[in-house]
Amino acid sequence: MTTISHESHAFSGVWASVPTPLKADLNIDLIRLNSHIRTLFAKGVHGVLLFGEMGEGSLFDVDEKVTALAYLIAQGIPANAIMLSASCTNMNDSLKLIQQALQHEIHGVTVMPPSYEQEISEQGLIDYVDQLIGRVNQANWRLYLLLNAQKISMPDAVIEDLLRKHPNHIVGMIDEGANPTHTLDLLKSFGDKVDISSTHEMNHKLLKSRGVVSPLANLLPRVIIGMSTSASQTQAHSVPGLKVKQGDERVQELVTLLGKYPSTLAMKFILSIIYRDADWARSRPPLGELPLASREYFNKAMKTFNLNTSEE
Amino acid sequence: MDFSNSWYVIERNNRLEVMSHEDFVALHPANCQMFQNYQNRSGAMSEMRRLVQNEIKAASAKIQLMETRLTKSY
Repeated sequence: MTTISHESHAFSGVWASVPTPLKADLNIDLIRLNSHIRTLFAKGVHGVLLFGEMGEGSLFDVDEKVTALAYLIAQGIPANAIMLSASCTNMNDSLKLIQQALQHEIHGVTVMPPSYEQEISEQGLIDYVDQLIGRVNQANWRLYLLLNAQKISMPDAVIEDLLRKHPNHIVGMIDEGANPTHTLDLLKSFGDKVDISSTHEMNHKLLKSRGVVSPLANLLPRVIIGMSTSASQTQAHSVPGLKVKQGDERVQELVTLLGKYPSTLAMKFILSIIYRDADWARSRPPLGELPLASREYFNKAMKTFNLNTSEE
Repeated sequence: MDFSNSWYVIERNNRLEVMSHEDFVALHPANCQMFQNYQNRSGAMSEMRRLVQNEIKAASAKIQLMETRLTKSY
């Protein structure tokens, strides 16, 4: 019997932050989502983060997220290979989502306190997470703090306080910022207490963390896996007609190519090219779809990039 | 995750195929492109049907274009 093990509760391997495909009526296309995740697992990805920034989490309500989660698990996706972003615009929604998600025994949830029109104090941030953990009121669940200084700044003193108060619940931090210095500072300050990860693939090598969260794993799963495991860091990827390139060169090329456009739309459009399926490019308003000029640019750029899905 | 009873849509020698996991693992990865994995054969067949219909539409559009050009040239 061929299996990929998801037995461990540890955060390890590459976790893809997956986009959410939509049907023509703009509801979640559960069949496409399921087959995309299965395909990633078949290529060696260890787990998935659902409804994060890449998965347009803020555009779906709690019931839609829970329904999708239940469907995927019923279809055979291992619950402990799923992380769910529970960053909602208010605490009650986050609470409801976490409580329902935990019934499915998923690996864990990621949370970022909601941003607000007015300045949020350090004590306010601490109170938010305190209240959330207190109200979930369950033992043995794993919370990953999602950090993104552009959206909401979480000072070290706040993190220190939260880790001290909730050592059994807060098990990791995922830095969405691109600055490797910030991620390394987190590692120095808190790496002995919790897992530190980054969503920026070029920072994965610096971190040497066991687990990484990667949006680009949707497109280049094997390359990201190769970059994140020391044994295969020397593997090069053969691109017909071009010189043999290292995985990180391919990732840097793709980051440069994607950097000019909103990432979710660009990612979905590239998936629509890979799967030869225009429906993958659909997003909910206000995101919508890439403008025609951008689609033409990506079509040309992806031909130059020459994505080799059998190897990458 | 258990893939042993799953099905794959692949492309080999410019032809789309649906293949069981058992057959898929026996292939050399360089000789085919794996599109997607499905839990059952009907899911994989349905995806292959969609891909073939895409190819037919693209080919029809090419033929139409050629016919238009030929008509204009006369």
